[in-house]
Amino acid sequence: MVKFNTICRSGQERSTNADITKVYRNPNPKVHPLAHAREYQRALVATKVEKIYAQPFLGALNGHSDGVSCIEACRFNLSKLVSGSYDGEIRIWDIPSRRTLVQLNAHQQMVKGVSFSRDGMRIVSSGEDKTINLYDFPQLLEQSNNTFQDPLMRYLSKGTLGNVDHNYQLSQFATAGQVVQVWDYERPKPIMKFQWGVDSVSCVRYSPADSNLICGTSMDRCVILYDVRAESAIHKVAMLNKSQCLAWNPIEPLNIVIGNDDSNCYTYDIRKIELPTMIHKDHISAVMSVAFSSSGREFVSGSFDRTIRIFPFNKGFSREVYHGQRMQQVNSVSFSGDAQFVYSGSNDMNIRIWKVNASQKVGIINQRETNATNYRQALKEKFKYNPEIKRIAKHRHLPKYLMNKKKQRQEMKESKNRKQRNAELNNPGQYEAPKPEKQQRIEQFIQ
Amino acid sequence: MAKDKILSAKLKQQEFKTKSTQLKTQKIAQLLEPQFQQSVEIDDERPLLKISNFKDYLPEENVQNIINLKLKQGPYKLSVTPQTTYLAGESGHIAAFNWRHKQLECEFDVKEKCYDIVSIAQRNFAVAQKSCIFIYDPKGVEVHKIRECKQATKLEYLPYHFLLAALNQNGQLTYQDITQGKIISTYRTTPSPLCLKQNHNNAILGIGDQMGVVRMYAPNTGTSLTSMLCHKGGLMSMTFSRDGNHLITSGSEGTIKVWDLRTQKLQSQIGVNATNLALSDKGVLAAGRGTDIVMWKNCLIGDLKTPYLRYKASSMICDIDFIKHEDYLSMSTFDSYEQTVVPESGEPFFDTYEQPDLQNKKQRLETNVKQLIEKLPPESISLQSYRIGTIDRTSKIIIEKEQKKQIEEQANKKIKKQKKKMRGRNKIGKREKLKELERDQKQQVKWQEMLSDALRVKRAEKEKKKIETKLLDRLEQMSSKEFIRVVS
Repeated sequence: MVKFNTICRSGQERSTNADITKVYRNPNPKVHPLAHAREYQRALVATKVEKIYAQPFLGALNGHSDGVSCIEACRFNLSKLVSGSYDGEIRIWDIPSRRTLVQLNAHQQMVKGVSFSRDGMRIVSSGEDKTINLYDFPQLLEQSNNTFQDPLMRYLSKGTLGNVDHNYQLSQFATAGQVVQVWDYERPKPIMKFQWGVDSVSCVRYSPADSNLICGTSMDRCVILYDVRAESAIHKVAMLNKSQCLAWNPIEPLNIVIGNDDSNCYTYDIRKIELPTMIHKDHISAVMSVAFSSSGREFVSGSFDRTIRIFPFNKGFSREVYHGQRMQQVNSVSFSGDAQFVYSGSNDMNIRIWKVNASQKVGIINQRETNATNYRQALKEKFKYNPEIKRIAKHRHLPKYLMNKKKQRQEMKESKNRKQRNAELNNPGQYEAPKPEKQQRIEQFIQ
Repeated sequence: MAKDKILSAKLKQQEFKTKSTQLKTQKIAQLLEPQFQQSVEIDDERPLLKISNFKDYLPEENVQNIINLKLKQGPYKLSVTPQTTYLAGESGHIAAFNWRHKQLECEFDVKEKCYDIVSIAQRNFAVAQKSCIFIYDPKGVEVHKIRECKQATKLEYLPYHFLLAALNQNGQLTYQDITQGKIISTYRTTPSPLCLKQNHNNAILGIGDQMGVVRMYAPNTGTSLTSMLCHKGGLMSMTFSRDGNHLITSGSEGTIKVWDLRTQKLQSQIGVNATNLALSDKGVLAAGRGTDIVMWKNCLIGDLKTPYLRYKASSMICDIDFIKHEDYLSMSTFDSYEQTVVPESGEPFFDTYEQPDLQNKKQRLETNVKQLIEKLPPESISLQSYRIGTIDRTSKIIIEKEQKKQIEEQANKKIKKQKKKMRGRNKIGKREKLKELERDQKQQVKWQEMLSDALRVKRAEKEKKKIETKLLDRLEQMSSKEFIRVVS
């Protein structure tokens, strides 16, 4: 008995047009010649295509007649955004249609801070004219024609005010300023005051996990942690430059990111606030505002050097930089609730909408497209250390002033390192190694 | 230290993921194996030797694909794909037909001598004719005329690089990019080439010559990458295995040898004379001489002692080839085209994304675009194709040297122009003077080099003379008697 097999492909074509076409796969590498070279080529093409499709700027919301000082995206409703400007005007925007929903002449002077409450029902705003306004959001939308709408409540503060942040759970909010004050909806006077030293606090934020913790940045170059229950501050750390802004990591609420005037962002663990856990270096000028995404993996920072940068939470350098020809100093940034968009309010009276992933398609993507993009993403990850691909992926176009400044900085850094190395080599016994950089930035730690 | 731990943990995770997915895909592939094969049982105890022994037991589809076409014009050259065959007759008869559906695609007469035919991307085909190489449409319309390669006698097509390689009788090898029409490189190989074959795994071309030497070529280097002395006589024909690890050559002294390419050593040999060789997907070797073809099974693993099948064609064989992913052997002879069934020679499980010939129309259109996007650069062709994307393990010193060289080359390329100064006095006379100075300097450098060369030559001559004079002195000093002794 002799037995053998022969190949018959007769029954493989589909019977009707309505049938799906079958796809046969053989994972044996013998059937896939030149697999390594082709995969590498696909990865190269994927990085190039990503650069071609990188169009992050979506649009601008214009309407303010003076620079935008603060913005906040609503946590409850993805399409609403509130912004305050230098001339005391507050606007509520509908982002998909790029229109102003409500326009309010809220304050006599600059609006220092705006904040949504957790359920999206209330808006709090603080102004340089020492008043805090509390608005009811649905009521505002009803009477959107009236620009002189009265707030629900108006609170008067004795000292100057900084920014305002609404409590995550209770009907309370905290304001920065000469003194850190905690207000309740019902009381006309602050229910609690914190003061440590004579300097005013510029920015204040509630912790997303425990609403009894408030963190603030003060004018004497400190970062202070306050406890509401104990009615006092816990500890503070003084740095070399003062910090402008602060953000809590919503997924790891033990970490905060502060944006400093020396153009770096620092990540601190509040349990051990003596040393920063990470220094994020990429900006050229002071960092004006920081905001975390709801995934807790990335944060965006807007700075005085007219760019916004997106940093991963654990890396020292930015993943992405956005700049516009007409965008002036960025005063405040905010992430949208679904972590897909970034809003930036700047001195040129515009609020710009940017994509978080510059080459991502906005809109409904079908299953085959997502599979293809996932495959391409995996390819890019696999070959990201290859010099050719790394060079293409890393490349970002920067305006001339930024490039020059960046080169200058690099030169300064290199010369410093060179001098240290030479000093070390030439003075074997006497040379003292400089402190690690993280320690260099801290001046002192106070309980 | 903490960084290394995190990195090592990540790498471990990645490795585990890739391994588990590999196992999964293999399992799924096994489960979903389509029923492409039919098993045939014969009551006979004898081994299969002739097709007439088992023709009656074969399924109908295989019997239908046994073809014997009578043709008229001269010996034919062959190129087969899983859908179509392309035939080029020596007197100019060119035909393309779909052997699966038994349909003629095109047939025409070129009225000049044709040396070789090869199928190219998207169902086009290239014919090496006496005047130049022509590329034709699937319908037979002439699309391109390639004048650069003169009197090419052998053609090969590298599918993933879109390169057409043409070999001359004098040994001139040209690589041409089909998408752009650009000649990538052309150089001399051997003065007497006999056969040209491609290693599909590597995209490297092997050329065998009359000295019995096989040399491997890539578009980058003008010289051969490696060479192997295979036979005592000339190399009649050769084939590479599908996975690129074996080479089978036949020499004019009457042997067929199986070589292991990784070690470049002889694996097995048999004393059979063969003018044509063909190797199937699964390792069935077909050797043709005259009108006979002998086939061996498992030639790469086992030895070539017992033949598997024999076949007798109707006339002298010109070209034989196995059809990919099928159980058929096709051959072109002096006056016919024939196809027979060789059971268990083809790989039944194909991958749809790798075989555009086995796809339907819509899939083919997609792959046409994707292939062009993923076209590989010709610089990536090398003997070790698996090294792309891996870590470069050359030492740091060598890498730094190469980088320095590159920077120097770039700096030399940049021509520095004299800047036109706008501020202050910018007389034309001064600019011209500066230009002259530069020219003089360049000339001085040239002259110095020439002088030093001339000096060297002079010195060499002087030394020669010195040696000569020394000899003369010695001869003078010797007495006349000694001189006579030395001379005689």
